[in-house]
Amino acid sequence: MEDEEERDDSDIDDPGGPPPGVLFRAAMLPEYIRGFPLHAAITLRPDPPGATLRLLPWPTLASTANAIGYLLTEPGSPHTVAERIPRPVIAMDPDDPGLTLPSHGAYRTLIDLAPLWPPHLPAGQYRLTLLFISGFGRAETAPFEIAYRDPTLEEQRTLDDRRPEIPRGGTWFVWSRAPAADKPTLRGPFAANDPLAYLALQRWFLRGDDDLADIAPSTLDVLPPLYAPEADLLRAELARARGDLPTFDALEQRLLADHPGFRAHLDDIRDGHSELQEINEARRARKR
Amino acid sequence: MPSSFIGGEMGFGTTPRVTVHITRRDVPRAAAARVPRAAPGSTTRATLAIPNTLVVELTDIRGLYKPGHVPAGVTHPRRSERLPGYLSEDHKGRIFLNRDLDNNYARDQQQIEITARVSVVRGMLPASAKIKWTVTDPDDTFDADPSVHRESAPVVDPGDHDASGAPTGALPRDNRGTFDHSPRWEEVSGFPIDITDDAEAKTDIVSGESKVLIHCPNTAGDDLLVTATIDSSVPVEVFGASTGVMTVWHRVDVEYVKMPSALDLPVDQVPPFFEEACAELSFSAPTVVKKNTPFMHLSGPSRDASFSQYIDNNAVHARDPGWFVVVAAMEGERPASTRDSRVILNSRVRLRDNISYTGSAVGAHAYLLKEFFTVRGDFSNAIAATFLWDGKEARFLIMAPVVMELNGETYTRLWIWPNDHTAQIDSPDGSLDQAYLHQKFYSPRYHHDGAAWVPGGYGMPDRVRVKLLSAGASSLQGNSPPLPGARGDYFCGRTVVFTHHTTFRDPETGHRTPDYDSEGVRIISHELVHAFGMPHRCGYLDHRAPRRRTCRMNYTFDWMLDPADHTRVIPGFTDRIGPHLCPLHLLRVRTVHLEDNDALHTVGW
Repeated sequence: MEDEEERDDSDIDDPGGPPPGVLFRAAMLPEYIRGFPLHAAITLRPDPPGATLRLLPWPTLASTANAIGYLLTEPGSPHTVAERIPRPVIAMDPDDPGLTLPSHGAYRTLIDLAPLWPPHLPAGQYRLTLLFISGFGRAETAPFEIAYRDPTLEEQRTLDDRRPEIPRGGTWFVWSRAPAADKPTLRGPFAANDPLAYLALQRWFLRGDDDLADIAPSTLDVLPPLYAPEADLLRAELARARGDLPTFDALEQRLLADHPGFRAHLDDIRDGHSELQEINEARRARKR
Repeated sequence: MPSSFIGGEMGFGTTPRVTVHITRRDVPRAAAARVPRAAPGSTTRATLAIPNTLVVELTDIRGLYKPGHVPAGVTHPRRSERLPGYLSEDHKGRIFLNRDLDNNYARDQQQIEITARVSVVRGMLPASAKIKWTVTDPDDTFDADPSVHRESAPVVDPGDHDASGAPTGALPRDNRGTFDHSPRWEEVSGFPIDITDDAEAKTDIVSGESKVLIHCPNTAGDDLLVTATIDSSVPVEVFGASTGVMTVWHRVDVEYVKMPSALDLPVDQVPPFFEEACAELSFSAPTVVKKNTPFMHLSGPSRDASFSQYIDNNAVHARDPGWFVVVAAMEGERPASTRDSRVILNSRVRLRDNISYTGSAVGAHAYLLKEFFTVRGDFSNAIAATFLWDGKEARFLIMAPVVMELNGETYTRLWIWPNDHTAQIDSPDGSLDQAYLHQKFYSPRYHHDGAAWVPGGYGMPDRVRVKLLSAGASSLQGNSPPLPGARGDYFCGRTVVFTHHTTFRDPETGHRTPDYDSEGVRIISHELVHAFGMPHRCGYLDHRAPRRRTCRMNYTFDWMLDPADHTRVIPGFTDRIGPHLCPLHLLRVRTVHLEDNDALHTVGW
């Protein structure tokens, strides 16, 4: 199309149809512990699939972007125990188009509900419905049954040991990216029942002094199924660092089948431009 | 006035002319008393009535800062510095919110400590004498400045205007703040105090000196004037003293962090535009980080998280109370496309609306999907639309292109993202939620007033010409990553400017663009006004006279609100953003309480 070629489409008689919206799905852990992150995995898709949705709020593990909320009830009761109805900022910034959901695309991310969580919620069984509110309206997940409990003595010791490492006013996500004074301590061990395991692994990969090529992919096997796609992404990072392209290709194929939104991230890993690859390269340069 | 002036009438100006009647009262000199001389051998007597004549001088005000003063030996002074003995004689003295007397950050403290010296010119200092301190609230004279537009003045100082906005005089007692300390008077050790009320207190005079600590109102722009005289149970002739007008200000130190290859930001040009809102921003000397990060955001966390992490890792004062951070960086992220945004369609189209909301687009905010137009072909990469009609032009972003197949032909229905304006700002608390509480929307033919769509907006006809722009190699000019707080994301004064953006730097030569300074100041100051909890896009002109520019918080392509009808916007203001604020933003920057920003509070504010 030439830039200035004029034409006329005003004759098209399109009465319109339902405006596009967001399909919102989530996965959760069965149990959460007071004081630790409350991770959920969410997926956003355009509805209808052929729509491209722009200017969406961009929830991530770092921030729910004023777009995520919840309704919390007790099982078998319609009574709402707590709720958080977000009010996303619908402020267009021509410099920053926010999150775009391309047609037939999807966006998956982990989020942390802890900053939104009612601080004095008693331990117990709850039904949790997640909300995503954007310029395209309000979308809800089906309710999840979750358990919420207080930490054991050992878990409390973990909290007490690690909380001082969180920068002032920061979250567990900020902790996962904070430099460590004693890098070898970042190597673990990592326990399957440790709610910080995923973030601790991230911190090791980001802030440790081990070459990613030297880290065994099986280290990631400890992560619960909720984290499976993110664990595969990390495995792809390790494979790229090792130069193991067949493994990388297999992981890429597996990931993109269910999560096409990882395309750009995987391309960056392959090209050595992802954050972890660039950090690893700098780490290697320092050691040379 | 000249020292030889003996009082009388003085005139100033011509039209209008101000005539001032001045009475001069001299401090008497101490002189020997003359008594009748007696002849030798006789006696005489005389009764000497020696008046007690006392002079009160103010000698120092701790907690008061003189703009432009550079203390000896200070190479990078703040915009105002302490000058011992400075009494705000120029009426420009600044008292800072949330600072102790030594300028340390101290939440909810704004105070001065005044020292007075008493000299006995004649007679003696009565034992019962005390210093009587009086605080008054003089008129805020900002609105009297001829450079302030007459329609702006009633917004900033409504007490000087009637309901129609006509000036009624320079009336005092217009402070907005309250006192964070009760009583507002506090004893300075060694100088016992007797408090009459909020406006008056008396302190003991010890060795010819007295001191008092005064807690000041807690809102920037509030002003006060303190007089000191003598209270005595026996008659005294007193020559009292007074401070000049002292004004309460925000004080924020701004750490300036710079990557080695980033262009130097024109930070020195930013502070003057905040000072009209009684906000002193003092940029530090640059903290130059050791190495470049060509793209601050790489695949991994979100942009905001990457930018926030960079600030945390490289700014010394990233999470210190009383500090903002501005970073001069290179590029925000690696461009997703090498193609620039370009016109991909130039066509006449029909605007449609009134769609019933079904499917997943229900509930809050779905109402934004109001107007659309449909074109032949696949234009799923359209990101913006410029509409042209009747010699007018308006720009919108495309919210959602939906590609459809109808009767074997491909069409794209393009949903228009209405432009937003927030022309009312109530009780900003730093949260984005509160900042945009009164946000309203303007689409080509309609306005959403918060409850329903009504005719208005841009007043376009149904059929208009459109130029569609493709999504191209977007790159960020700047970004201010928020911090989380009780109400979600909060503005928090952490800004990154990407100086390798083509607005700032010629990609061929690597040199600054001709508009580098003005663009840089615009971006930095826009982002730092956000840091005070303010929304953007007020839709107002700036507060200055004559009216030439729009408020700094608007966008370059914005139309302005129709002053007579806020359901409509009016053309003629694109590319007219100035460096100044509208009266509403100016007032709200003054009156906001940064220490109540929940996210800043969690990092120690």
